[in-house]
Amino acid sequence: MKIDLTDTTASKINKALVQGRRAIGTPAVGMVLTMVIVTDEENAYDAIKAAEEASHEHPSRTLVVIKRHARTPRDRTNSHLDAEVRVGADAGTGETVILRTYGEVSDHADSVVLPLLLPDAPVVVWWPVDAPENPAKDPLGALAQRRITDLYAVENPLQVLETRVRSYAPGDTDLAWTRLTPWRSMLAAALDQARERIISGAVEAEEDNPAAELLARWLEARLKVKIDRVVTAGPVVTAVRLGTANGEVVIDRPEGPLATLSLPGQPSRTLALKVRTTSELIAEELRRLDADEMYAVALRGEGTKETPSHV
Amino acid sequence: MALTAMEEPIAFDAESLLTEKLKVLKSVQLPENLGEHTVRGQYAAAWQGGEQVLGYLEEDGIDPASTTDTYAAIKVNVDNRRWAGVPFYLRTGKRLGRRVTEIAVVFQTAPHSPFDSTATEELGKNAIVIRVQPDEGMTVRFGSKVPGTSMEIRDVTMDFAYGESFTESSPEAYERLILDVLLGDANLFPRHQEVEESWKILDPIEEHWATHGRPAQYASGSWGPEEADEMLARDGRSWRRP
Repeated sequence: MKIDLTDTTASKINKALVQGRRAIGTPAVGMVLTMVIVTDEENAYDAIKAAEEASHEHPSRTLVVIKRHARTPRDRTNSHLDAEVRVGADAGTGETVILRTYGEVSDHADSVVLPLLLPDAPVVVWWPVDAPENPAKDPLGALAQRRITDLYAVENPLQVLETRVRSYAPGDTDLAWTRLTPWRSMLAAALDQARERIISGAVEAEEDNPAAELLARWLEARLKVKIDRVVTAGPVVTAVRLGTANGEVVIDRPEGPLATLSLPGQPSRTLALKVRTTSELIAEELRRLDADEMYAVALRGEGTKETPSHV
Repeated sequence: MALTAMEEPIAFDAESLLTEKLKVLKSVQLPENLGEHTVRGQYAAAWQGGEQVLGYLEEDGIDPASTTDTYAAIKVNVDNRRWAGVPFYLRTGKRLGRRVTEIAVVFQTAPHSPFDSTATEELGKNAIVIRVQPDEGMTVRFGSKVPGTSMEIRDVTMDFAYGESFTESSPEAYERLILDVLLGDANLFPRHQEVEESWKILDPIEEHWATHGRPAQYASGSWGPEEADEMLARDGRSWRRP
């Protein structure tokens, strides 16, 4: 069911949530987290869809903050908040509140979001596009344990990657990094079999691919060898080659969901390595909500000694 | 607080309730250093829930030099056998994040955890939260293993809400009180002894505040001044987000 509220406040939205929950009758859903999506009207539909799909794995309250820009100066001074409350079948397995902010309230969206957060539960903020320069210092980002950005959605990924390195705070993560998880687990498994010292390496990918850069930095940090970046026609990351004294360990994915793994002295075999959808990435990202220490290592790219925070 | 900390009354009538509540109130001890364990505040101009609101000192008819507090947080101890060593933190205020009345009983972490630190990294403290208003009910919060092959424990909640189990809505707090006045039922009313005992607890704090410092300013729509967070941080704790 949907409840539309125009020119509203956070307390009215809270009442509508309780009202909606009572109206549908069976709201016994233990929501485990609050997901805040900060986006614009153009990207809202896809982001909400991805979040709803991810909510099948992680029941959550989704707050979508859409900042709207008025065309005329007169409308720009008029500050108000519209909300659309969705509960039940319209909202995946949780509750969705779409907040549209106009005028000055757009700069104070955190004041609307704070009263709507679930008690005690962790908060995740996701910027599908236009992430702030320093996510941890952003008023909305400061509310969250986990801040998800996406380097695939920026104009100049490698330049933005450098600012992310500088602004990194525990809890930051990026979907470009999440996309690498299958690659990383395949590579780690391949090296378990090869059991040889790696003396050289290369990552092949399309031009300006942030995931490839992160993968190369991760390999450099972990293997302590120089990794070459090779530009191919894509799509995304196409191959990783790791040289040993006896030959190369290669995972090659020219296209499609199938990759080929070749190990020295062994027959090559095929692996499933598909490019996943945003909702799968988000669902994976929500599985662990503590700081991603490996991402920090990969961002910095140097062979720094690991200092896990939990020891 | 008295209702939370009191022993079971022998009967559910006003007299027995009063006896138990009085016992608790009489055993309340204030911390020695009131400056460190109490905080007061005044709301400042900010955005609250999507609206711009004035600060307390800018409100109509308020003296700009007023030291009246609109927020208070204190720590008390109940000095009896059952509650020895358990701090009670009370906080209340106007213009906070949202209107909510809750009692949270937060449990200690288990003395021995068989899980390693990575597995319990996301595990908070177990708690029972009694929601007095709004959305009356109760939540039990505990850790559960995340399904799958990896060992990972995460907080989950078990929820009971009056509005869901009984579709009849409960009467407003004051409706209920007025009914009790008409019936002559004093269960929910504090007696003069209780009021006196309560003031005995608060008087030293008021006196301390009258002579020391000014109320801390906090942004309207937030959950109180930073000083209150620092007050709990000194005890190695933090406020829960209601």
